[in-house]
Amino acid sequence: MTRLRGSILMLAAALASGCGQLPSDPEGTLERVREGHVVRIGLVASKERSLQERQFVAELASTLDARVSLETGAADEVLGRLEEGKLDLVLGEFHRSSPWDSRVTFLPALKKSGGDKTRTVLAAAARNGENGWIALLHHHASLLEQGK
Amino acid sequence: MTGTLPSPVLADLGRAKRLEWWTLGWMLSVVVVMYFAMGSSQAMKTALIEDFLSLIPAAVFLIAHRFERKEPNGRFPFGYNRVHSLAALIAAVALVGIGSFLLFDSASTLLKREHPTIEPVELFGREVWLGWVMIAALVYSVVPPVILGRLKQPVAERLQDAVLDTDAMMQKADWQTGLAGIGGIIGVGFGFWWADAVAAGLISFSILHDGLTSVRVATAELVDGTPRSLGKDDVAEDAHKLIQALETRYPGAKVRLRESGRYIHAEVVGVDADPDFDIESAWPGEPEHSWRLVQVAFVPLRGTRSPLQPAPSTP
Repeated sequence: MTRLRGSILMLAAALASGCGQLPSDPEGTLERVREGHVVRIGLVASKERSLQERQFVAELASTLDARVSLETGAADEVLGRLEEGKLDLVLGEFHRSSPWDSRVTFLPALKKSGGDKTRTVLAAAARNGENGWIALLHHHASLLEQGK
Repeated sequence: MTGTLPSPVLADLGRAKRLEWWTLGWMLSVVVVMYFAMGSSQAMKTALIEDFLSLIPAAVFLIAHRFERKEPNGRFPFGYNRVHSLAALIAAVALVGIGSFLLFDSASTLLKREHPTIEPVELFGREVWLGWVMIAALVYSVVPPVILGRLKQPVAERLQDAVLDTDAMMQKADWQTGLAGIGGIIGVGFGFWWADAVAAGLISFSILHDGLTSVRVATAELVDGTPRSLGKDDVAEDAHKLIQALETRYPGAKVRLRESGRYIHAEVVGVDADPDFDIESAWPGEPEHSWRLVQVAFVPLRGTRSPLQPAPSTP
């Protein structure tokens, strides 16, 4: 019980000191992008890049004041590299019931987007748990949803 | 059976029943609030399973209470008192279930190094981090169990009611997991992905301890063990006193006590029935608990045998 009370006090103190930055990233993605001025984006190989995708990348780069480092590959390949933390973001068309749904975080959420389950959706994926980074992406994710 | 109960006990039983209905109502409201706060997140599944499990003790208390009031009949000549013992076991298993579930869930999160994702949500046209919504819901979820648990504890004590006592422990588990959850989400907000799992894991040990003790007490009751103290696996003080009083009164006799629901049955083995015996004056413990003793049976030695000992060889 005292241990619990102690940890609550500690958390309250921590809360008072840094409330503005919540949530932050366990692996520091957002901080690294902001300080290094590079955002590493993986693109799922496809015939052509859509307008929304390009807009999204451009807006993100200008918001973060960062250069974009692009790499292209098969979905499993780039998502795997995202999961390992070698990429910050993956963009592509994904199935609504993607097996990757629990291993990475899709924005906008694939499950929530209703309609035909067999169709694919343009979505951005981030590494699980990078909650500050995800919150920032979330803010711009509406660009991806438009005009479908 | 309840017809012979003293009025303060009847009043407490009524209070216990009302508290359990309140528990069902409030905890269901918590389930609804949590459901809306958690959205489709992974944490929601855990929280919902937990909340539903936590309704079990209150539900089985009310079901058992309904049975207990039924008169004995040809098919159940001893009445339905023991339904309460069965309810105690079910409630205890539910508590163990929550404890093990929490422990398993947090251990697997830590082992798999799963980083919990908590996304922002749209709320009244603004983007809000879901963590804040979850914390608000958890704060709400902590209040009813703290109050209900506190109100139940003294009633359980007076009634020596194992189900109500286990349910009070369940409420303790509820508010502790709620607080742990708040700490965990704030921790996750600060980038400590393990905070939620560690907080839940720490709490799970105390819940498991409470649950396993309750299971032992309830099992003892179902296998005719000597009555245990409330919430502990030790023989109750009242039981010690009763055994001593009866053995002093009938030297050479062996006294066996067992619990049937809230009630105590005694057997005095090795003496013939005492025609002067009066159950009203037989209780040596606290007078306000004397209602628990409902039967004293005399069993002459020739009227009992142990299946464990070899039968005496017939000449």
